[in-house]
Amino acid sequence: MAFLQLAPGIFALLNHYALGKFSKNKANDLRLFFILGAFLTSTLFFLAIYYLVSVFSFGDLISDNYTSSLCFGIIFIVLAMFCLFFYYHRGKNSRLFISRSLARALDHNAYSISSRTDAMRLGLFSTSCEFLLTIPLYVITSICLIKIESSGFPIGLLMISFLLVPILPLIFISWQYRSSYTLADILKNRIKNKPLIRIVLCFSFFLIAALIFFSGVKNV
Amino acid sequence: MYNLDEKDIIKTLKIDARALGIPSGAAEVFIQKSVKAALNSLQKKSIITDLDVKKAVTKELKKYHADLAYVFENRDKIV
Repeated sequence: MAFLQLAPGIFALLNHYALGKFSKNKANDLRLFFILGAFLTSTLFFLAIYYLVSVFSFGDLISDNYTSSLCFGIIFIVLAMFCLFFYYHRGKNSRLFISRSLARALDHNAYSISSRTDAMRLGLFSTSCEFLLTIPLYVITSICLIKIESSGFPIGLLMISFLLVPILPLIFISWQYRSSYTLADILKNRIKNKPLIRIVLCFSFFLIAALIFFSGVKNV
Repeated sequence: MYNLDEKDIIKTLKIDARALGIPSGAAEVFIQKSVKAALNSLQKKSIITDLDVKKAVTKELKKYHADLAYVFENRDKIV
C-alpha cells in the first residue's frame, strides 16, 4: 500500500499549487488536511473490512477450504499481473491506470483547492480511487490480525502501525517539499522509480498469493 | 489541459514559478516574453492545438528556466 502512487501524485500536485497560490502556513494547513482525509478514508475502509471479515469468518473459509484459498490466491495473481502490465502507462511519464478525464478532474481539483474541507475531500477521494487494489490487502491483514488476536497477543499497536502505512508516502513527500524539493524533482524521481515500483507491487502480490496457496495446500 | 487563452497560460506559469521559488519579478518578465514569442511563432499555423501551444511555450521557457519548462511540459503526466 505504501507503493501505490495515485494519492502521492495528487498530493505532490496539491503541494505545488498551494505553494504557488498561498502562503506557506496555508499550504501547510492544506497539506495536513489532505493527509488527514487520506488517513480517515483508509482507516474507515479497513475497520469496515475488519468487521466484515470477523463476522463472516473469512479466515477459516480460506485456511480450511482449498478451493476458496485457490480462488483468493488467483485474485492476488491477477492483481500482480495488473500491477506489472497495466498500473502505469507506457512512455516516459508516471501516468497511472485511471482514465485521462479522471486524472484531469483530479488535477483541476488540486489546482482549485482553497480551503481545508476541499483538501480533506481530495485526500478522501484520491485514496478511495485505488480501493480495488487495497481491498484484498485489507482482507488479508484483517484475517492475520484476527488469528493473532485469537492467540492472545494484543493487536492494537499492530493495527495502528498498519493504518499509518498508507500515509507514509504522503509524509515523505511533505518532507521533500519542506527540504526545498520541487515538483520537477519529484516528477523526475517518480519516472526514474517507475520500474522499481512496478516490480515491488507485482512481487508483493505474488508473495501473498504464494502464502495463501501454501496455507490452502496444507489442508488438502 | 491548458486553455489557449494567453492570460490563463501566464497565470498558470506565474503559480508554477512561485511554487518553484523563482523570484516573482524575474519570472513575470521571462514568462511574458516566452508566451508572447510562443504565440507569435504559432500564428502561421492554420490549426493550433493545445499540444502545439504547450510545445511552443516549453521551447521558449527552456531558454530561461529549465525546471519551469519541465513542470509546464510534464504536469499532466504525474497521474
